[in-house]
Amino acid sequence: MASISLQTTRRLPGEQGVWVFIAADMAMFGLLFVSFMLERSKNVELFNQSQLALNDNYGGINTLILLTSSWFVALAVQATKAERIRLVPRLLFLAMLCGAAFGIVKVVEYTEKLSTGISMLTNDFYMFYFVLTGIHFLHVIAGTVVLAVLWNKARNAGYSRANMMGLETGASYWHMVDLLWIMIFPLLYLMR
Amino acid sequence: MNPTAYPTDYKMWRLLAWCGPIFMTIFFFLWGVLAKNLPPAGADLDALQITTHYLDNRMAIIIGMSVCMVGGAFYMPWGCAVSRVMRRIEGPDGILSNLEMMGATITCAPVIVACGIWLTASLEAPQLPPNIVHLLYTLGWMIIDLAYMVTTFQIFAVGVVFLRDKRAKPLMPAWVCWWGFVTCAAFFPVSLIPFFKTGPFAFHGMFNFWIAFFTWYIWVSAVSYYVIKAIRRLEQEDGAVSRSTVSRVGTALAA
Amino acid sequence: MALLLSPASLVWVILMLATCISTWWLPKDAIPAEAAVAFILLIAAIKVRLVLNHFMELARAPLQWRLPFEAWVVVSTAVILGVYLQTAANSGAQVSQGREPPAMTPAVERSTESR
Repeated sequence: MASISLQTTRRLPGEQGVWVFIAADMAMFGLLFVSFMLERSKNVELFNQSQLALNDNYGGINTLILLTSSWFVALAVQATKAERIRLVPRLLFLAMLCGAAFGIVKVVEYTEKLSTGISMLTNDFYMFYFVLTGIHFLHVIAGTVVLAVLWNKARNAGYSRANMMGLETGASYWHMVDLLWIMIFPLLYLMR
Repeated sequence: MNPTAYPTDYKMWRLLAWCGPIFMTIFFFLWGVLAKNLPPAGADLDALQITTHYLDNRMAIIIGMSVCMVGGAFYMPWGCAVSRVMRRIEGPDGILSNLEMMGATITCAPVIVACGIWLTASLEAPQLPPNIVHLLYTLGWMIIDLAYMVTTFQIFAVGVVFLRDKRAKPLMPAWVCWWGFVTCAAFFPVSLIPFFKTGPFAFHGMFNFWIAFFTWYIWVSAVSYYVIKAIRRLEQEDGAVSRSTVSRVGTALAA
Repeated sequence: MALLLSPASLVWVILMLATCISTWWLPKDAIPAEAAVAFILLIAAIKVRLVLNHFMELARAPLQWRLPFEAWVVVSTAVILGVYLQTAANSGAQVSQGREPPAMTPAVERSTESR
């Protein structure tokens, strides 16, 4: 006779393997954050001065964009569990649009910097700025591709409550991209 | 797949799979320890400092790099052994199994060439101008590091195929495949090494040396371990299949 | 719509508000820099935990998976905050001892030698 558990079983959403990836990726970024702080401690005035050229509005808006995209993805997962299948591709598409919007703001921001003669070779602060946000941007691009794949399958009613492993896997990766930016933004733009 | 038509040499298969651990052992001790690459002399050292580094460690580097040029080749048979396990999942002519084998083979090239360059630098250091020694040093690093994409394709192929394994107990656990994807991701920032002589993204830096190399090392170790186990398991499974074939044929003949 | 009234939406509202506070209110000069940055970092840590526990559903994951990620938040925030405050104390001490802080012009980078 099957025993009835009074507690919901604890589970990781999506494939366990993606959590290995997420953990390793976060560990690497964590090390880069520490590396940034240590480099900054050797050169505070330079870092503070260089930071003044950064535009907090771009960074803040990008944070709002990614948070909203995560919200759409979380809703898409919930909609699948509630079998509201028609909503899922629409929510994923909105999340993709957010990813694209992030990209546009990023390109505008980089172009602005480069046109004033600031590049990753200018000094150590800008090295961290371009490389940290650049590596993160590559993650956003990859994530938007992942969202596109999820959206395509969802369009064909590919996900349901019983079949949503891929959706949850992709969603977990996307949320990681969001949370990394939540740390990167204050580190680079707001620390003074 | 009929295991008796062309009998599989499981011993040889396992031997080739062991070439992976052999490769790593040779490189850890002879490239890392003996030739003084753990940690490596920095990208920020000037020509005189690099020349001094070679003169101070001349014989150790000559021997270390020479053995590594031989040891580098062991990555190739390892790739063949891994590929053969992948074919049991993908089919005898699987495209990703082919890609893996080619990726492992061509990975030998930047490794062997870079070690040859460093060996020459050490050999000739006493009579070369210091800026030439420095050039050779940098050249070796650019070649061994920037060609990572050939290895990325190998790792990608391994990850995708083993994740598609439909066995109840897969031949390779999923975390190894995903660790492979982590390694692929860690390789991309290596393209920054021409631009930085200091910091985490220089070729001796925290990210582009320690993280990039060690994620790859962990992957090679884990894949080697599970491939060697898989070959034993496939040997048992193949044996069971041919025993049941023989007994069916025997029963049919006896009837 | 019932979906919009889900807990995820509440989390989103909190995250958006926290972001606006951190980005456009706290950095104002009315508050001393060290206090503002400390608050900004702590708010960031809370935001990360909200994403981990509610969007990524770690709150309902096995403990052996949840703990390392919670630890990541604690350790990275603590180290960042710690180094930040230490650095602020050091450069404050330098100024009060009459020593000039390092020059404000961008350092001539050794890394540009290759160009």
